[in-house]
Amino acid sequence: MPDPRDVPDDPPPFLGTWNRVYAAVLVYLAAIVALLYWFTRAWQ
Amino acid sequence: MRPLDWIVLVVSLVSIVVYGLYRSRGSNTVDRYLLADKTMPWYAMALSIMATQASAITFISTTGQSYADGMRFVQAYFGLPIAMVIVSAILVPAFHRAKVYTAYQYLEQRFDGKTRTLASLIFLCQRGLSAGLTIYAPAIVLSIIMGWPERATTTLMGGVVVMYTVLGGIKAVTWSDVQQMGVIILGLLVALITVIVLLPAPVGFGDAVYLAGAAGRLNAVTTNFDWNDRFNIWSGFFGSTFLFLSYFGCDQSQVQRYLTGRSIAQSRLGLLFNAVAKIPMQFFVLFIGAMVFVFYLFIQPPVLFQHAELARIEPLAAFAPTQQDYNRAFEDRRQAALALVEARHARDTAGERRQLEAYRAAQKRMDAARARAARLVGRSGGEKDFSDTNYIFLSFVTRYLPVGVVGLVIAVIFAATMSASSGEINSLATVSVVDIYRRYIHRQGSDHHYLMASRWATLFWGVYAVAFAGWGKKLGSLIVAVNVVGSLFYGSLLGCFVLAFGFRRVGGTATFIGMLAGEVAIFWAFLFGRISYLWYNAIGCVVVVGTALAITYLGPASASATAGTPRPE
Repeated sequence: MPDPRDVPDDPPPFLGTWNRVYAAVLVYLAAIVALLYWFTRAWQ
Repeated sequence: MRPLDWIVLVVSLVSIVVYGLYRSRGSNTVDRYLLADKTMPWYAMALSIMATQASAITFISTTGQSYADGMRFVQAYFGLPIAMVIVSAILVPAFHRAKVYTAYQYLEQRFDGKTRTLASLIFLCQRGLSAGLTIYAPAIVLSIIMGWPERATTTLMGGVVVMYTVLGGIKAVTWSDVQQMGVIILGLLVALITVIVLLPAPVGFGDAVYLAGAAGRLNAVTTNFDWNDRFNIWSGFFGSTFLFLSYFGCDQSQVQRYLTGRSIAQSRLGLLFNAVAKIPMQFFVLFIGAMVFVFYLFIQPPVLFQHAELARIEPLAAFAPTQQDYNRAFEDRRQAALALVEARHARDTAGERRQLEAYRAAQKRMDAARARAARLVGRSGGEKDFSDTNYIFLSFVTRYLPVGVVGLVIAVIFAATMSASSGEINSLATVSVVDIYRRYIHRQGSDHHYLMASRWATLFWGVYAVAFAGWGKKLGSLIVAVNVVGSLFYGSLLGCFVLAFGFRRVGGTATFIGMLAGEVAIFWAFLFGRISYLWYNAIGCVVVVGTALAITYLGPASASATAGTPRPE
């Protein structure tokens, strides 16, 4: 198997670590679902 | 279509192809042809991923679905960001470090040859079935709405795709996807603005949203639970997470997009952009359908939007009363909608409540008349579960949108077809060459040999897709079945990859048997269960993992003998 070290795992361009980026995406998902729920209720 | 529409359509298509081929210059090695030499920036991958996922029928059907049933289809994408995070965190670094061309190649490094081959064959079977449909489905709608000959439309769409995919490989596919996405976004934006401009004078944008909501067309989130209901928040979160994990983690047509990234970080950014952009984009497409619904509050729509079937049932005696009911209900709904807007402007709460009731009652009568007409199609020799959802948006476009915009929207349909189809053909060719031809038939060829084999395989799958699309009409209602068949394979593939990444002790034989058991379970659910197809992926995955774990921990020691044994190529 190829040496895994020759494929660098660079940090993300924002938020410092990938785990923070993933957390931001999941928070975004929660926000957008909440927004869509509000949208549904508001125009029902 | 008028001359300006043709000019817009031809210029859009030619510029897409020329730009894609221009950016793919120098694709003269296998690495460049299949993986773009791993040089693609994140934004190109992001748009290519989105373009590959969105076929023409997505736009045609989604808008129609919103017109007929509201926006709840958007929930089918709630699992996508979760899947993107998992794929970015686990699969992307693993595939990059394993230096593979295909996702299934990784399975041989992790398990053994038979597991890789079974996964490759499942992919070829599933994707091969859908390759022709990707071209056929929009072609049949265009041929009925525009009157274009069906075979010529499929040949034109397929021919253009085959040309740039064979010549330019993955680079041409990716860069033309970028432009296709641009055409798609521009076309949809212009369509939305136009439909809002076309609303009658007293109805503003706020009124239009209000009227769509009052008729239940803005139901983006529904919380009721039903196993058989395809679109609610539960199937959206749980079912679609499995679906998108399967699609983005195990389907080579998507894996190949992010394998072209110049680094792990670039591939992750491409996927995470999709995680952020997909739900708003789908919402936007559905919202266009809701606005088309509002447009038709003031201009009477046909009972059925598929005019060939409508013309067939019109002479029948049973149709006349349905049409009369529909006409009366439309007039009642139109008057109630106008009165509702007036009451809303005057802040007359009691009047608003009264008109709302009349508006909703008239809507129910219109829906009932449409359902009766659809049943009449089935009873008079047409398709049994006839639905005209796919014809609603294009019927509106060709009748009411101004010259030039029609050409742009048709260009959107072509662009979406081409982007989805080129990704499929390209990935089918890659798996055929890397996982089958190079693995079993010709192991020691030169780079040039495999480059030529890849080009021939691309041409083969392109011609196959066009030929299959040409056969579409003969398949008739089997098309629905073929679509369902596509969803019968993902669960096993996903289970296999879950075992590969999550359970180091599980070996190739246990996984292989688990995949077969997963397929049996999915087919059992399909044939005997009353469960929405979104759940098949979860069922298949759980059975594969459960069976493999049982064999590993409870069965003979030989079942896990191949675990973790690397087999480099």
